[in-house]
Parts: sequence; C-alpha cells; structure tokens
Amino acid sequence: MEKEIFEHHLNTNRRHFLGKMALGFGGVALGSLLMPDLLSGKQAVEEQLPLGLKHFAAKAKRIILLVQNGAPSQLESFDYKPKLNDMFGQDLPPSVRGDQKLTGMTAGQESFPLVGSKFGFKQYGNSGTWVSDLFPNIAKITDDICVIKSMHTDAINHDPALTFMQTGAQVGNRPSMGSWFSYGLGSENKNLPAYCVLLSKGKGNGQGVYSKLWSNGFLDSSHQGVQLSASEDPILYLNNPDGMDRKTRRTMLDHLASLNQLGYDEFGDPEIPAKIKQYEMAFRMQTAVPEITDVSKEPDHIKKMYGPDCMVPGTYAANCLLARKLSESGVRFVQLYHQGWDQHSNLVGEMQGQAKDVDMASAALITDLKQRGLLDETLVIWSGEFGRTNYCQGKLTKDNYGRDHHPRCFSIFVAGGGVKSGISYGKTDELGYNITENPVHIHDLHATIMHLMGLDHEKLTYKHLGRRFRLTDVHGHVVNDILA
Amino acid sequence: MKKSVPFFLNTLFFLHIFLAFLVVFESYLEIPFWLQPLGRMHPLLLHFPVAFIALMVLLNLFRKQIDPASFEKINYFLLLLTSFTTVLATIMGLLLSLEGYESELMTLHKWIGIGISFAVYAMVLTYLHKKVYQILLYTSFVGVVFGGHFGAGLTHGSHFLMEPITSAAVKKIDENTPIYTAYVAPILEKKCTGCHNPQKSNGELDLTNVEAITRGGENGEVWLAHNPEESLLLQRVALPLEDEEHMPPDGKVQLTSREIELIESWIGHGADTEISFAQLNIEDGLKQLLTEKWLKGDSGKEAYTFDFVDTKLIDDLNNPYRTVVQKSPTSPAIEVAIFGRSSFKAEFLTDLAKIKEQVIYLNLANLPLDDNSLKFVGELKNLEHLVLNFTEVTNEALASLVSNTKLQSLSLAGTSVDVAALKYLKEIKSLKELFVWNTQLTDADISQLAKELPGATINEGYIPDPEEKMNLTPPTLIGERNIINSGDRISLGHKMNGVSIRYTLDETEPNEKSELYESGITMDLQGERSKTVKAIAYKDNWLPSEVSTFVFYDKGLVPDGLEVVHPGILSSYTGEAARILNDDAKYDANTYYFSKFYASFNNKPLIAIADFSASNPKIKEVVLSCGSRNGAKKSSVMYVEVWSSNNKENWTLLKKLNLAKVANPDKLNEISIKFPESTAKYYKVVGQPNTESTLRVNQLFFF
Repeated sequence: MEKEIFEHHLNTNRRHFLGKMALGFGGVALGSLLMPDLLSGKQAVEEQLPLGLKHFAAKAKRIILLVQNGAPSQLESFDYKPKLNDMFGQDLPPSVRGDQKLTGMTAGQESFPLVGSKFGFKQYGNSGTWVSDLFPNIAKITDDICVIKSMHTDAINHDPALTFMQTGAQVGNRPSMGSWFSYGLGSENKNLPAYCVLLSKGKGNGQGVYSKLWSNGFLDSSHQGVQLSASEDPILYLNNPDGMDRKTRRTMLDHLASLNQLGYDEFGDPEIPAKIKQYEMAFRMQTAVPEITDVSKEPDHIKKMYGPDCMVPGTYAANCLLARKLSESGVRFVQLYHQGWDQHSNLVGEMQGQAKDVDMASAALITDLKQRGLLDETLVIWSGEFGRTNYCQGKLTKDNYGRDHHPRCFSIFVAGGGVKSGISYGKTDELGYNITENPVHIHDLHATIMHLMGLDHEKLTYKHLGRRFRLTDVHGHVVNDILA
Repeated sequence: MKKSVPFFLNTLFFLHIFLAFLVVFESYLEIPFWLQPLGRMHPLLLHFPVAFIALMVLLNLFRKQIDPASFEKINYFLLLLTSFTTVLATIMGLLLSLEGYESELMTLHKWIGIGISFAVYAMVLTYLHKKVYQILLYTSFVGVVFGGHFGAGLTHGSHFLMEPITSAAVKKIDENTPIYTAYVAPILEKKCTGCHNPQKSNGELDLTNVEAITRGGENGEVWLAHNPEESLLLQRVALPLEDEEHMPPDGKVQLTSREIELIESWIGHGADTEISFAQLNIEDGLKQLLTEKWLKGDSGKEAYTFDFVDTKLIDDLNNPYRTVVQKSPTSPAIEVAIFGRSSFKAEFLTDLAKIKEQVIYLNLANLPLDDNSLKFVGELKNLEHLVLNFTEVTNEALASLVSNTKLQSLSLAGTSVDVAALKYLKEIKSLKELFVWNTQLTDADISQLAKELPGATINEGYIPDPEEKMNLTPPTLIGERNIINSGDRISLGHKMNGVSIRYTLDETEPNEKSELYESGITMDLQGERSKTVKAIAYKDNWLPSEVSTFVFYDKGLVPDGLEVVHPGILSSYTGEAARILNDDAKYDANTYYFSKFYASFNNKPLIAIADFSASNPKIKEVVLSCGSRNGAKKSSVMYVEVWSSNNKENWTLLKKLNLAKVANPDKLNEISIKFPESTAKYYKVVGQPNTESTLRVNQLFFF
C-alpha cells in the first residue's frame, strides 16, 4: 500500500502537474457556474431585494426635509455659547482650530476674532432647550422636536456639502435621498410622485440649487424628484390642452402605451416601461393634484398658523403648507429648499429676515401634522448643509459681523416619526468649534433616517458599474440614542 | 484498489479546489433553486464523515491489535472515503448556508466544517508522515465534536442540549417578584458575573448573589443605598471606555443606558433587594421608569395571533388608489391607505373583507365616507390606528367604532363631529390618542371626554388667539393679461374664501366704502392709453391687505403679423422677441428687466416688421415699451426709427428720434414716435442700442 502511494507521489511529473491543474481549473469553473456575473462579463440582474417592502417595522411612513440652503449659523439658532460673547474680538486659539482647513474666503485673514450671538437665547419647554430669539415660534414647540447640536460633515463648500447631505457623496451622479426612498419603499399614493421638491428664496445672500440635488442618479428615472412650480399650477403641463377631454386623453395614452410596448419588446430598454408608468401616473395626477391644492375645506386659521405668506405661492410658508398637503396625501418624501442662508457678512441683518421667513411656517408645519395625528408617522428634518465659524469673517463691529463655512459642527432639528421629542443631543465645546459629545455624521443621519423608515441602510443597495451602492456608501451608524 | 487510488486522489483534489473557491467567493454566490436539494442533503451526508472519523480514531487506537498489512489497506481506504464524504458534506453545507442562515453559531459551524475537510485532505497528502497524520486525525476528531454540537444547535436551538436542566431554573416574573431578582440580577448576570463569580472572582468580587455583593470586593462596597453617585459599580461603569478602571472592560459587552438608568434608580431608591414592583408608590421614579422603559418595551412587541396573508392577495389588493402593505416581513399586521376623493368607490373599503383580521392601520382621510363605510370599519377587529380627518363622518357613524376594541389612535380632525359623538367616543376604552382639531367639539366637551377616557391624550390642536390679527395678502389679478381693448372684462381674485375686495378706478386709494368687486370689472378706457385699478381685501377678524395696483394698457391696432429680424442676445430671454412684443402682457421693468419677458439687443439693433396688409388701418403713432430701471444714468437706446413700405422692399423713413442723450434716462419707459398719418401695408421699427448698452424691450404698440 505504501508503495503505491509512494509511486503515486513519484509519478507527479509535468504531465500530472498539468493534468492536476486542469482539475483545479475544473473546480474553479464549476464554482463559477454558481456565480452568474463573475465570468459572464455582463451586468447581472440586480439581486432582488423585495423592493417596496420594509426590512423591519417602520416608525415613520413619510419624510419632509426642510433644507435651509446656504447653512444657517448654529450659533444664532440652537447652539448657545455665551463664552463667545465674553471673548468678543479675541483670537480663536490655534489649539481649538487644530488642523482644520479654511475656505479661500477666510484663509487669508490675519486674525480670527471670536464673536458671540448678537441675539439672545432662552430655554424653552419642559426640555429646557436653548433657542435664540430669532426663532420664537420654533421655541414654542421645543417639546416636540429633537435638536442635534453635534452634526458634522466632510465638505466645506456649498455645492459638495449640499450634494453630500442629499446623496451621501460629495461628487454628483448619485441618487438623492428621496430617490433612494422612492426606490426602496415606492410611493404610498400611486397617483402622485414619491418624491416632490419645492423651492423658495429668502432675501439673504443665496446659493443656487440645481436639479442634480434631486436627481435619481443611476436609479430608474421614475425615482427622480419632481419639482413643483411656484405658480398657481404647481405641476406644469399636467392639464389637458384646450379641446382634449379626459376620454380622448385616455385613448391616446392607450395607443401610445401599445406603441411603447412594441419598442420595449424590440429593444428591451428599461426606460420604456418607466415612461409608460409615468404617463399613467400623470393621467391619475390630473385628478389627484387639484384635490391636494384645494384648501376650501380647511379653516382660515390654518393660514394664521403658517402666516399670511402661505397664501403667496413660492414662499417658504406656502411651500410648508403644500408640503403638508402632499405628505398627508401619501408623498413619501417632500423636500423644501429655502435659499439665502449664506451669511458671510451682514449676518445680523440677513439672518433676521431668513429666520422670519421660516420660523413661523416650520413650527406651524409640525403643529399641523401633530393636530392631525400625523406627526407620529411623519419625520420632519430641518437642516442646513454645514455650520458657520465661531469667528468673524470680514470686518467685526459691535453691531454686525459675518461667519464663514464650518464643517466641524452644526445644529439641526428633527421631529416626529419615531424620534425622541424634547431632547437636545450632542454637545460642542464652549467656543462652539469642535464636538465634545455624541458626534453625528451625515452618514449617521442618513442611516438613522433610513432606520426610522424601516430600511436597513446596509441592505438597500443598487448595483451599478460593477459594485453595489448605498446611500451611506460604506459608513453610517444608526443613532440609537435619539430613537423613541 | 491500485487503480482507484489515483482516481480518488484526483477527485479529492478537484473537490477541495472547488470548496476553496466557494469559500473565497461565498458572498457572490447565488444558488439556483435546482441546486438547493443538494445543499439540503447536508444533514444526511454529514453523518458519514462523523462516523468515519470516529472509526479511524478507534482503528488507530487499536492498530496494534490488527495485522499491519490489513490495517494499512483498511486505514488508507477509510481515509480516502472519509476525505471524500467530508468534502462533499462541507460543500453541501456551504450551499445550504447560503439559503440564509446567519448567526455566530453558523459561522463557527461553517469554519469548523471547512477546517475538518482540509485537515482530512491534509491527512491524505501527508499519509506517510505518521506524526503529522496523527495530530491531524485527533484535531479533526475534536473538530467533529464541536462542529457537530454547533450544527445541532443550528437545527435544534443552542440551548437544546442543556435545556431540560436550565429551564427548571427560569422563574416567572410578576409584579410581586423583587425588582432585584427580576431586573437587576439578570443585568449583573449578563454583563458582570463572567469575571466576578465564586470561581473567577476578579478584584475579589463575586456578583452572583446578594450576600457576596454585600461583602464587596477588594475596593470596597459595590453600592451605597440611596447614593448612586458614590456607588462604586456605577462609578466604574461611568468611566471612559479607555480607562483601565472602566467596567466592563473594553471589548466586553457594555451596559446599555437603559440598564444603567435602572440600576441608578434602584440604588437611589434604597437598593432594597426585596422590594417589588407592586410595593412601589405610583410617584416613585423607579416605578415610572420601569413602567415606561421596561414593561412597555415588552408589551410594545405585541405578538399578533392572526395569520399572515398570502403575498399574492396583498398584491391583488393594491391598486393606484389603495395601498396595502405588510407592517414588516416578520409581522402579519397590515396597513392600508386609500387616496383620491374623486376616484373613491365603496368597494375600495369593502374589498378589505378578505384581510379583515390583519388590518391594524387604516387611513381614509379626505374620502367621501358614508355611515356604511364606518360600519365596515367597525368590523376590523384588530384595528389600532384609524385616520378619518376631513371626511364626512357623522356622530352616529362613530357608533360603529365602539366594536373596534383594539383602537388606540383615532384622528377626527376637520370632521363635523360634535357633542353628540361623545357617547360613542367614551365607549372606545382602548383609545390612547384622539385628535379632534377643527371639529365642533367645545373645550367643555373635550374636558368631559377626557374624564371618561383617562388613558387617552386628546389633542385639540392649534386654537387661534381671537385677539391676534394678521394682514391679508393683497388681491391678485386673474391671468397675466394687462393689455386690453376698451370694454374688456378683467377679474381679480384672492386665495382666501370669504374675502371682500374693494376697488377704485380713479387712482384714489380704495377703502371699505369703495366699490365692491363681484364678478369682474368692465374696463372702459374712455380714450385713455391706460387705466389703473387699485384694490384692497377685507375680511372679518383680519387686518385689511395692502393695496394692489394694476395698470391696464390700451391694445391699440394689432398687426396681422410681426417678425423680428435678429433675435437679439439670449440669456434668461430665449429669443422669442416677436411674441414678447405682441402678446397681451406688459411687465414692470423694475421687476422683470432681466427676465424672459424682456427681449434684449446690443450688437445688433431691434428690427421689427409689422404686417398690416390685410386690415390696412390709419396709423400715426408707434409706442415702444422699453425698460429702464430706477437709477439708470445713461439711455439704453441711441435712436428709434419708424419706416413704412407697401412691398417690404422700398422703405420710407417716417420718423427718427435720437435718444442717446435724453434728459431723464431712468424714466425712459415708453418711447412714443409720432408721425403724419399713414396707411402703408408694412411698418419697420428700428431700435439702435446705445454704445456699450443693452436695449431691452417688452411691447410694441401701434395707434
């Protein structure tokens, strides 16, 4: 027996080696049969996660994201730093600044004089949440909101930071948060887009918003955000042209769909069925949208809540009211942008105007959802893209100053849908420059939002260019401490 | 035998390469359904290697009792057979694992299995080195014991083996169980007693029983009654994780904030190891904490007793107006929302009869419901959450909801329910939240209801302060048309219902005595080129709006056609100069100067050719409405010319106006060019921009 084994080993010559190698390759080949996309060279059919199904029970069904575009100062809103007032005009200690790179706008400044809030702060509600005097109405609802003072981000300029906030990446071409939810959960009301976008502009120094921020990226185009216009007709080109009745439109769409189907059968382009679906939805939207814009059944005092501006289309207040109506009608993700928060100079003047634009309506939105019993299932997020520096940009005077971009800490608030209410989470140092407790990165915020909506941020993926993409990329931790 | 050895060796080599490949690329594998039975044969096949390895151990132990030649033959053949069945069982196991077992136990079992397979294969390769062979054999055997145990744990549950012994120890917890036994001791057991027990008492501390805890450790007492701040246990827990003294040490499972809070509260209460939940006072922080965070948490994961619904049925129930979703993949509960007031049919609701048991959430907001709809809702026995905001639900219809004995949340905002609804609402004892904003219920009704339903939070919502008054927004013009013919009717509007609009036509400020706007205003221009409407909005309980001013312009003579030779320079203006100059809307320059409503020209002049060949009217004036903003210091136009022709080839200059040095360039809004009356068929208007200026034009009138 040993002889045979010995011989077998002796016989391991080149031919055997090659023969064995063939066997080895055979093993690999057999294995590769189980991996459809390893050697086939073609894009695999996406691994079918049951889309439209939650991964676990959700706390929130819908999201309203109030983007304060331009980055409102945390030091004049929620992060109270009296020490900065004491140290007025003194230079920011280099030890606090550490290795933080500055923007081109202040990098050349000779000194970084600290400046505290020109506006007073008080504590409100049972929670004793600090809110500045600029936001008297938000101050009244502090027991319904959760203020996060320890947000931080990677980017220091508007476009990458806003893109990061929206898509989880600083470069473009990734799907926006709303698109991910449309993809992962679908629309609750199939007569309306799952993702709607509303724009408004304050008088403060503004930064542009671009449609790439609500783009579907590499997801199917049916997931892109639909921008509603500020005119009397929020959705453009929705009505039938003169002379076409609903029946004729129906016939036309049926024929168009059968033509499109022919095209799909021949080319197999997945954008074609998406288009057929969009036409059908638009047809149903023709009756759904007027129902949403109809306010006749609502009491007048709803307008007192949101402020009289809510009757002027295109204002933040009008958009908040419309956002509530859309959300109430089952739009999964409504996103508002209010421009004008970029206070590099004249912060004292501009921020008053900006705060006046949003304070009343933001608070009204939350109260309104609450009184309808909808706040428990709607997540409202009020956030800029980064924070502002604790030192003055440009000329510092007793009465006015400006603040540059600051990615290391900023304050946001979230309310409703499964979030603890009446708490402040996270802390910054006494100069409001660095986070000292419970940092929350943008990726963490995204992971938490997805968790609240019943999605595991590590499981909702889309395969594109040979890798699986997530909203949180390879990062993100759910902030369990703020979950109710 | 001789011949089969190379065959076996080659096969084993092949299978191990295959196995290695599967292991490396495991996360990419997708197992087709027809291969799944192969995986599922793992539990059958694995018993062969288990037995074979045991047999080989026995053979090797008793080798001296066996004839050496036979031993070699049997042993080597058995080894080949073992290796063969091991690798097969492992491959199958790997396939099976991809069907979705994920646990620590699984990972352990998997890697032990893979380890054994390669160890046995190594035995084949090193058969001639007896020492290595022996070591591998006994290692594999130990592996089989553990791997087998973990595998059994996967199929029978990890406590299967010891269950008969351990289950006897589990005590039932009720409100009379001491809080220490029910909540505190289990935390210590889970997080601390691994190192602080009688056998392994690190720091001379044993946390397994009350006596030992009272004795304390080398650093003193574990806790001080009524003094959580000074209690060593909590101090150690609160230290930063990096601290040497922090407990449990870095790397071990930490206490959660909920657990720390409980221990803190319990020590604060007196660290009484005997006191039970029932003995605590309702005001005690400890009792409240337990109720809110420990007891609720348990009941919050309410297990539903009803069955799952077939996903096919759920799919069928979904339509564009009705969304039916399972609460989560692990819950049979179903949530339903119906949308679309104008598309609503009674069947949308009654179709749900098939999932009557499972519906726990129903959103019917804004739908035209009748009493029958509510009767159906009353049949949804497990309904927990119902939204009826802004529906036509009546007081009487609410009687149907009394049978929803699980209903916790009811939204009635915007409905017409009033005091007559109370007798039904108070019967829904399960209610935890009720939303009655914007109903007919008065404060008195609500406080009465609050007494009847002590467990429910009743939300009245926003109640406006009657003293607080706000300004209305100004009236708006319906449509953008402000260029009209005398006698045309124009319409004003307002976003709010019940607003009265008052207006004047004589440029005086309107007030509450001015003309009341009803259904439109007939604009009599009375020979003027323009007419101003000033309007203001009034409403009870609101302050009047600001005055809005609308200027209407005489349309004049309309050409049959208008063409513009060069489109001009494009920016937000998109090149439709002919339409802009000839439409029915004139836009204020101070607001719209840089918008798409103003055609702009700089390097090439504006050349507009109007065709009057069909109507052939008498014309004696052209007005070019151009923009000039407040504060402009320089005229934007050098000159304007009007030419006439009957054939569009031979043009006659009618008039030229030089405007380069006009006195008030910031007032140059309307350029009027008058000339002797003409009846030509075509007119050409040329506007030459001033040097380094842009001419922006909005409208062209002929009179």
